[in-house]
Amino acid sequence: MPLPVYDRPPIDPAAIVSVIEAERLNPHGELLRTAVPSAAAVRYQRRQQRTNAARQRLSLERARESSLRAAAREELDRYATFVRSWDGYDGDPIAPVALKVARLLIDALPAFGNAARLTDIIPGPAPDGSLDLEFRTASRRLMITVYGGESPNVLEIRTLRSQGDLREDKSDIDTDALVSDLRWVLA
Amino acid sequence: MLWRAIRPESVYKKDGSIKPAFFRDRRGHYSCDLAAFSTPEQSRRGYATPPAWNPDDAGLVEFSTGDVRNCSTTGGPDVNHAPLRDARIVNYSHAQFSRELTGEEEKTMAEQKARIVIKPRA
Repeated sequence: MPLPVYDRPPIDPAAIVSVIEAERLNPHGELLRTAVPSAAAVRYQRRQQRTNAARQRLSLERARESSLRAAAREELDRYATFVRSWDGYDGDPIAPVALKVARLLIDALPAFGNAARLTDIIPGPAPDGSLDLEFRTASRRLMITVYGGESPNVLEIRTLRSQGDLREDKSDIDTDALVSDLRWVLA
Repeated sequence: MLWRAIRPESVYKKDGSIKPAFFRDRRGHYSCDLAAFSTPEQSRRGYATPPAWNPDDAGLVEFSTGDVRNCSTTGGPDVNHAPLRDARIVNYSHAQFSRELTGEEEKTMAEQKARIVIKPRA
């Protein structure tokens, strides 16, 4: 009788018995233990970010803020085209220095705080050639009035803070006071 | 009653209300028209010939002399009749405030006293 040919090495019958015996004693493997490294050994891995919802500056907010600034700049560009009597009476053209300062303030806004808080940036032209720049957040409103001076590089700035019924009007302010007002509205 | 033309840039886009800067004139002679000597259409389009703006876009704001005099607790300016007649403008209805408004008075006039009777075309 020819010997059977095995395609795998013969197993020790005692080993088979021990596996069957272990299966019988522990049918669902409760006694099996998996070696898990301690928590300290697990390397911290940052959770994969699928949205940017947890970030302070949402891309949507950033887009809104930049759109507000662009719209305000566009409106200032329109004011630059005003000629004498632009208001139907004897209105002065808007002072170039006032336009320049307003553009600078709009561009520099993020340096003074969280510009994403702004809900609106509204310029406003006045018949005497001055202009207003109004910054609004959900609870605060800052109106900056820029007057052109006698010479092209002289100007005067007035601010009006409003929060609820509280108002604070300041005339002829310096740069420090202006910065403090901008920080206040963006705080 | 007093009227003054208003450009689209002088109203808030969101709610159509008047910006306080509309009432500012540091030169001390804010202009308006006495309604008794004008018509809404004439005041809206302005008396300047040729106009320095597109009068088709203009709106009209209305307020009273009483509004101006009572725009602050300490008393606002008066309004004086000051007809204009020069090469470009002939406007018998022209009137002027007797002094500049303060920031608070500008806001009061814009937010509480004056009203837009013809909306400017945005």
